Amino acid sequence: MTAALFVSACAVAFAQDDYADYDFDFDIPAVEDNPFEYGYSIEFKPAALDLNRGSAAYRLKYESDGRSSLTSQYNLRLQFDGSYRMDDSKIVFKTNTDIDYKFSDLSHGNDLYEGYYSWTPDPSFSLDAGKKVVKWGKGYAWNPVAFIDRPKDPDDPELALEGYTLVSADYIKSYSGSLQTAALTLVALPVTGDLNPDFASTGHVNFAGKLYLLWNDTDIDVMFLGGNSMPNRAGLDFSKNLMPNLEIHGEWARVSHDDSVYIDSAGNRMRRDRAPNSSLLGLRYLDRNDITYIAEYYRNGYGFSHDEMTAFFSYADTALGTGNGADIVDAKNLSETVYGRKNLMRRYVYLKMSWKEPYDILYFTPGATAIFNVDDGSYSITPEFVYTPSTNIALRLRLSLLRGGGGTEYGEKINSNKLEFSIKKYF
Amino acid sequence: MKIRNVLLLSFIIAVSAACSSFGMTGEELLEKVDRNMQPKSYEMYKKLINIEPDGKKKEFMLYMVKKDNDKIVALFISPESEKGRATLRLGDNMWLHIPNVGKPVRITSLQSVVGGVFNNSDIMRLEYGFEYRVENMSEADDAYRMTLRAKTDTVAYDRLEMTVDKTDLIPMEIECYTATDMLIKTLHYRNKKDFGDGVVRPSVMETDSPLHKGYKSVMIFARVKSREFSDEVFTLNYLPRVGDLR
Repeated sequence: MTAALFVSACAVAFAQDDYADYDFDFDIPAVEDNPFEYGYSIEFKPAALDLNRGSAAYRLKYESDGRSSLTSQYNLRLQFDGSYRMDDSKIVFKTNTDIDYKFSDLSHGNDLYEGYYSWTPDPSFSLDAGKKVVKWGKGYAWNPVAFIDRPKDPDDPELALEGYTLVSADYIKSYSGSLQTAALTLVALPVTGDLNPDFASTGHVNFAGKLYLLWNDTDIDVMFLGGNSMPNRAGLDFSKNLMPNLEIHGEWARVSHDDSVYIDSAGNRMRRDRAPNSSLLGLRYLDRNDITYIAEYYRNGYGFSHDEMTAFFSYADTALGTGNGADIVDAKNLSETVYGRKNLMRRYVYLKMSWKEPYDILYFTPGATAIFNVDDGSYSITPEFVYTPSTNIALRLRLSLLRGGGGTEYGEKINSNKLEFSIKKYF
Repeated sequence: MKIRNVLLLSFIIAVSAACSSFGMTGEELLEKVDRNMQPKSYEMYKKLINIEPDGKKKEFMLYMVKKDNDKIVALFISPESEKGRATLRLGDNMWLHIPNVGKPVRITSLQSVVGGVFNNSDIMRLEYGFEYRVENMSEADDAYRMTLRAKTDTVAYDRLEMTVDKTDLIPMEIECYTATDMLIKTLHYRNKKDFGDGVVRPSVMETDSPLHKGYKSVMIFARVKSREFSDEVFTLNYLPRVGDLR
């Protein structure tokens, strides 16, 4: 009997020791007691750049400067977001403040990324009004069907973006059978001098819509954008798991016409009207070692051909060579507008690999991203390390290596290498 | 012909007798385990704790809702760095919504969402009977032991060895194996608790893994409550709003 009691006592003591690492009970934030929720983050991002002093972009911007080829820049970013809930509605907001020190210039900017009222009387229906991010498309690096989004940065696709002021309604219906879900989203987007002036030409209300279907375990979206601010466009996308660890996705978009400027081989500024088709096909694969691979092929219907880009670089060279102020200003304007977009040529391949916690190093994810310009053979490769040493702190170190000859996209960028560190703290 | 019918009848009776020698079949036992662990449609809170060999801890809190056999949503409500991330599972389909990315992306059940020993499948578990069939069942003094085999290859673990408490019909321990018979992790259920509405189940699940020696992950369950939801809650369009259900 004594032995049995001793064994029981030991068992209890052992069990208590086992449980000593944590408490069984925990506080659950009570929504009903506090309808106002908020959070914020501060990120500090210093970077060292190896300037490509021979590139067109550098020479057009800093030709007269005697700066060294190595420079540093700093960014401090504060993001504040929250919501206030009232019965079946809520107010959502997100702000972004940037303080930048670049090329000896200090600048700052405050933006309301999102600020909208949302009414959801029933899970099948919702109405949103205000400034909101509406992200369409299945691609990771590019989204040809993202008709009412600001373009994302393929070098950092998960960066938060600013929304547009709009009114949107969502109606969802679930079914049993091969069609599991159907959802219709309708959007009205006004463009005036004060509302969404950077969307397209002002003085119009534009309408967009998206029909989403989950059909035979496949996500399918069909979307359109119509109005007078910009040419009409339509598109579709899909996503499906071919195997439990292999997903395929794609997008296709067609714009009714695009009136754009380009420089021809004789150095003349030309206009052309075309109906661009853009498309994307991608795969996402997870292997046994918890390595995720993303591969995408993007065909940019708006893109310039290799010859057209060569003509522009030649045009910029000539302007810089003659020293004609008006020509230099014109080339500079072109380099910052028409020829200043990210991934402005026709065909790209994107590859990303990220390895979650290799060799049992908890919360550590090394990875690498490569973007290849198929048209001119230039590319960027970005190895990176992400580590979250403790709750609410994230560290990231990335090195971007840009390679390409003269007259190529990456060979003519303002920098050839960039080392960037980021520390982000959430509150 | 007559003899063949008699033999067939005898075989059916023999199989039925064997199956019911424990008072219930394996499938019936698994169904009871599922019902005891969770109502058909419910909401609950989960706290995940990753404990490192040096005692360092990282905690995550989730709000979860489930309906029927094949619909489940999990929303991170803390820490701040993860807040708003939501995962939806609809049968074999699984999506992850990250607030900054804005749109849900398809993921697999094998992926780890928080680091450490837990993967999506552990967090987004549907009912055992939906994902597994009973391959073998045996009885000991105080427990049943079942071998469960995955019905499809979308499930993270090909085989489970489940030990079930004979009195309460709730799992005590589950060993998770790959298709190559490698032990990936062991789940230990502890601390039986009455959550109300007739839900009496373990409130703690500890996980250890030979692949992560010295590391321990703990899942603590709270406010397990029966609740009805419309099907539209379990859709991609609703996923960013799932926090409104709280």
